[in-house]
Amino acid sequence: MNIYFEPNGDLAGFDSGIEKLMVDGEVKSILMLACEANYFSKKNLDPRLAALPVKIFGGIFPHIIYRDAVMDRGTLMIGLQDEVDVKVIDSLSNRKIDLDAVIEELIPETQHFHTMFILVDGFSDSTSKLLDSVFYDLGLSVNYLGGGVGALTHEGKPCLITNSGLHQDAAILVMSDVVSGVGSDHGWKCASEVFQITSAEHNVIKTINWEPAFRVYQRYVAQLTSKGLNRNNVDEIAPHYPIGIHRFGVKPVVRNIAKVTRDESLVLFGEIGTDSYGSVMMSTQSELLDASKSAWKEARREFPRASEAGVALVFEDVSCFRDVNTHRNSDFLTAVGYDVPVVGALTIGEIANNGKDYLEFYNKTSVVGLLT
Amino acid sequence: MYNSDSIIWALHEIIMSMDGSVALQPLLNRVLRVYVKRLNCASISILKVRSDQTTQSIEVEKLFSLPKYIELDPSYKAAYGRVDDLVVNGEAIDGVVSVMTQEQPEVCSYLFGLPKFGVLIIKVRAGVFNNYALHSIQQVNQKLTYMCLGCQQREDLIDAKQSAEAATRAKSEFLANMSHEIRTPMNAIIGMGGMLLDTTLSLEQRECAKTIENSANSLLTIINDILDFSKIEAGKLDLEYSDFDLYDAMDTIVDIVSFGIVDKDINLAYYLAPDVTTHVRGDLGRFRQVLINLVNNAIKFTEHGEVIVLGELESESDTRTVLRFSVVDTGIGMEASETDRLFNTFSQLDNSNHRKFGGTGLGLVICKALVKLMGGEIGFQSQLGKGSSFWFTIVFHKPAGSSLDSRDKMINLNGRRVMVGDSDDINRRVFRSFLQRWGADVVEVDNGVDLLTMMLQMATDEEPIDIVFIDVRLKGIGCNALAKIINNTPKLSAAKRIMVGSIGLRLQLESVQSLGFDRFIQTPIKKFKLIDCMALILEQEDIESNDAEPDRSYISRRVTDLPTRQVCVLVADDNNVNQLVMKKMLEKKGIQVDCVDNGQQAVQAVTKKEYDLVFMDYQMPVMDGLEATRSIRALAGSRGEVPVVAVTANVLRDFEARCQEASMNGYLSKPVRIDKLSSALDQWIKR
Repeated sequence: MNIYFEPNGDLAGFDSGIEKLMVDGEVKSILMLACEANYFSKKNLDPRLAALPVKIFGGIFPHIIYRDAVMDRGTLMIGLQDEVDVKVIDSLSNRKIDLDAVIEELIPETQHFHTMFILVDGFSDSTSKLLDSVFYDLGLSVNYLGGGVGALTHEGKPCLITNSGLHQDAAILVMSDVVSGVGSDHGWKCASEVFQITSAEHNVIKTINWEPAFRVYQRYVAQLTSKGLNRNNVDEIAPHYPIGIHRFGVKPVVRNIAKVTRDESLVLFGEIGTDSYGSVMMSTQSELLDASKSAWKEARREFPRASEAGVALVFEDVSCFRDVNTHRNSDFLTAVGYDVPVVGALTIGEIANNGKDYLEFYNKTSVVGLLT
Repeated sequence: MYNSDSIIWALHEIIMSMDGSVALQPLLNRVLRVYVKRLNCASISILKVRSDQTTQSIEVEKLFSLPKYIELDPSYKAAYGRVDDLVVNGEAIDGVVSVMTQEQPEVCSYLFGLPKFGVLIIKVRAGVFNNYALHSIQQVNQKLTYMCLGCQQREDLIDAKQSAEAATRAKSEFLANMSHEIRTPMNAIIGMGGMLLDTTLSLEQRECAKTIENSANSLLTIINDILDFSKIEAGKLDLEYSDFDLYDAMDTIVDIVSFGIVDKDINLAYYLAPDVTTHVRGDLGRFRQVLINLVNNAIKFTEHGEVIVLGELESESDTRTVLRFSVVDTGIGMEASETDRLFNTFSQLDNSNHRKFGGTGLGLVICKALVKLMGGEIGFQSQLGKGSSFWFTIVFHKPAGSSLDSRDKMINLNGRRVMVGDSDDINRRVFRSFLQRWGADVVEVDNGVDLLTMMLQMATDEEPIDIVFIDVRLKGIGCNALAKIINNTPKLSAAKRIMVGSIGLRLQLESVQSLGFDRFIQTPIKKFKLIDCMALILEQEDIESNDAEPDRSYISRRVTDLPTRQVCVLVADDNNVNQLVMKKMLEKKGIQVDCVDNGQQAVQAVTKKEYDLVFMDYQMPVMDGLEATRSIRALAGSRGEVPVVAVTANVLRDFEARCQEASMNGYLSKPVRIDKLSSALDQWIKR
């Protein structure tokens, strides 16, 4: 596996990286992770993507990770020695699209592969619906790895990379024979009593316990912090108090709060269902670090013993990675068995599954994929 | 490790997702997706268990699963193999079975029995479900079972209903096809029978030919009933709207049904109330069909007395008029207990093997459907031994333009005194309504003595009667005697005398005149017969008064007056018998006829020769009638404009639209009857 990092985030660097990856002829496809601060636009990148002789897929993220460091600018190009099959689903938020039918058409019943990379517009309100359809079609017969792409500073910017150019409000499903071991975990714990989501639509909670959602959330947060939560400091306070959706037998699925609407609804990163039960969550830096370690360990455990990992692809939630990262040290790396190059991105939501749990769209979760 | 309440939260969400579905697949699709999410399942599947009584085995059907190709998972196969553990006597029972495999020790499949329905298989991480969770899940599964059984029963009912409807449709299609097939040979039987009767026959031969014709006509009525009924059943019956005059329609109806009273002592009459709008828009054919059916029934069940058709205004708006028609008879009537099944399919009051009254038992069913289609209702009152009154309402549209029939203006009886001598109340009412409409002063009497007395009195008062109608059955003094008396009495002899006789009375004008009458008119009284009669009386007065050339325009013209030049008609039909029937019918009218066997030959014939009209069979080999008509329309000049009338036994819904699309001018249904043929000739041949 060839990895090339170009720190300038410009087109010349992109061209140069591609040239270097392609020089020995072994690269059959490319995974590209780019920063939103790069000098890329649909206009200047699309022709280059279309002209590539191999399949390319990836995304533009708030930040990327190279050699376990967070980069604000730059482009990571990972050359895979297997051919991949890239499928794009545009207009993801169009409610009229029957995603079950779309997925069934895109993925032939006869197609067998080991790992599916799923990259999705992080601001979409249909990601869970997409994953439900993927699960309906494929089940847990393959490993899933991916997350939400997007630029935090430019919501609605095309950020999904394929040979057909940059896409927005879309998802890409990449079928690959890359052997993988996938692990995921989060360090968030319930910090409030359990409440019922009494009215929700897609990614918007309208009422909790039949009261306007923000009002209830505000009350619970007030019990956890002395900093009073109001509409003006939601961006500052809410990332520390996400909402967890309870499932039986496993940790709750964490949902980050994106914003509060005028009618006191809470907009989340990812869907939530009416009648589901939730809690306000809280965590500490050490718990987040433990979760990160746990994800690494699970990935190692799930990685087939007969194979040798060539790279660790990590997706960490953009809202909490910086806290975790500053507390990482050599002990952590030793603990997780840091013996492969670590690359990845800070995402707006994460996707991971190793065949034992239902396929979910996570927030604030560490995802590690060891790839051959 | 996890909050034990979390099973309750998860199950509550599952229960909440179960409301609102009455169809099984949408229910399962929604609910099982919540199951997998909230119970964090790796897969889920619901199986329906059925007992096959024939093979004494059970059938297991996968109704829904997540993921859909769940069979590819080896642990699912292992679980599926344990379904039998939850089936007793062919039925699923309550219970839980867990299955683990050596290949995947970290996961476990649980089979939950859904009593009397099937089995739910859930795959989760091993050790996650404790007894409390399993028990709670099974409680929720009970609700799922009830909902599935409810949906299943509903779908079974829908399936049964659809099967029944499909069978009915198939039956109707079959009947329609059969009717179609039968109509073609009927064409030959009726046509040839009619022609045979026009030849010189011995008395015995005539009897036989007449029987053939009558039987064929009866059979055709039955076939038409069946065809209508099958169209109604198949939902293929559409209305055809046109503007028409109700008096025209009533005259035609009376014409058609009056043959039924020839051998009976029945007075048949129709009366439209003065406030009835007579110029209307509706489906003339279907209106006529309903009324003819009811009047024929009334005649069938009445031996003596009268059958009266009354038309009255029910309600009216600017654009619509609702009319109520009643057919009142003095027939055998019905017992109250018999009336319940009167409008039921194939129901006849007399179901004995030797029924006195024939029929398919479909007539009233068809009437009911037609009336409903025309926006009305149908009903009846009846009393055993006293008679019946069948009524129906119809919503007619009011066409734009004048509602006054121009023919009414032709008869001017202003200032004339007209006496009606008829013992029957309704006949007098009918006469009065027409005569007053034309301006006459009408005097009515119900016996011969009063008639003479009144006439003499009025003459003495210098208000002599100008025209007198005398019914042949007038009580008191016989009509012939009255005519003689009037003729021989100077004060009365100026009155024009019109004999009124029933349908069975056929008299030549000379015979009528020899009895002292000027004219003869038959009951039932028809408006346009009365117009003709009054016009001739007025014409006679004109001649007698000033010898001027009379204005004959008010004598209503009857159809089938063909032009004096030689008329040429082309008949295209692949059936030689049908060709022959049409040819004979047309030749009898002095028309020159050419026959061809298919559409291609028809196009060639029209190219070579100028025809006045083409009768085109709808279905022919080589080139069908539609294609041939399109080719003819493509011809330049008048050849391309020749009127083309389709002839077919196919009378289903889209037929007419196809004819119109091919620019055909009209169509005739097989068997072609002489009156329909005459109407077509009258309509389409230029004079």
